[in-house]
Amino acid sequence: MKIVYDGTAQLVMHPVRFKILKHINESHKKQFVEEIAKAIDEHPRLVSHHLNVLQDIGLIECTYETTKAKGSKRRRVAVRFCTATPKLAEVFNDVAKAAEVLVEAK
Amino acid sequence: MDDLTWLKEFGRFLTFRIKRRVMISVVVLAIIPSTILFYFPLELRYFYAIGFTLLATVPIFSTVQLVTGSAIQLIKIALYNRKHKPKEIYYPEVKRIAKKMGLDYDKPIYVTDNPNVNGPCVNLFSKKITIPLSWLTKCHRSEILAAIGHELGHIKNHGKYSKEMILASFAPVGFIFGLAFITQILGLLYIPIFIQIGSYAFMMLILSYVFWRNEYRADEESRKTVGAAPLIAVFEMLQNQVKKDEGSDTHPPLHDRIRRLESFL
Repeated sequence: MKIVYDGTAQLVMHPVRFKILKHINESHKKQFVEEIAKAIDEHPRLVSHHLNVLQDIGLIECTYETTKAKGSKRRRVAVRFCTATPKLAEVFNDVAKAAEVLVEAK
Repeated sequence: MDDLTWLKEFGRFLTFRIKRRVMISVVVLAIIPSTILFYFPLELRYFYAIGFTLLATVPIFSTVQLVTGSAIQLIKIALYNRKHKPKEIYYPEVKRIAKKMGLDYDKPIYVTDNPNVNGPCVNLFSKKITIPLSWLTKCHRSEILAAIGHELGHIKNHGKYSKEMILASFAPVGFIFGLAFITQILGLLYIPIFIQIGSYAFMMLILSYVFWRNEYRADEESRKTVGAAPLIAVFEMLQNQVKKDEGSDTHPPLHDRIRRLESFL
């Protein structure tokens, strides 16, 4: 369980970050910030902060794409899309293993 | 020591919400029935005295708990720090944050593995900011900087805080003289003991308000310089660690602090 030692686990254990990661991991497609915020019922700017942290530790990848702005035919806006990296699957595997160990110990 | 377990249980039962409600009722009981107490029939006076005495144990117990708890904590921290000196760590961003706040602060941040230090804290005299070692792995750098911003906010508002503390200490004097004036009008020549206890409970309430106000002010300073999101993230993490989020004598409840910051997102 290397995630415990490289400090990723401690950062992931934040309640909101964990919800975000769970949502991204389960959705299997590109998610943009508003979508994630709606799904986990948090403010988009707060989600954006957590996405920065998760991108920093390499659990998600973010790309910016331009899409049509709401209510305008010409104007386009940059939207941040997020996808899971292979490291995220590793983290969830490790978390599941750690949970099993804890259940066995109990 | 086993005989004192009931006292510990009583202390645990006295959550902050209960304590505050009891203190407010002590103050109210000291104002209204106490000033006209001697117009009551004797039986009612006895009943009032017993009830008031029972309620009055709460502010006294609460003060003992706060003062002894803080003193024991400080002694434990000092003893541990003698053997395990906190390590210095330099964040270049701290100077920038302090400058934004209008402070000239260019000191290192101290990191400690002291188990008695649960969160970032500041010594307002030496202006040393200390953070627990576990926070370096638990929090992202931006969140640590938000917590440091909060502590810098305490340093910045130290003057205002001191003035408010002095004013809060004078509050019971005003309270007691105000009620003494009413009792004089009513024809009494002395201040009943109930009013004196009530004034003490009033002081405790005012002090708690000053502590809370100071925390909100430090949150505001951090929000202005570092942003609301990292500080909210820190509070959400802490919310996950506490059993009951209802605040304490010195700190407001986390959900309230988050709600205040969320309006600035």
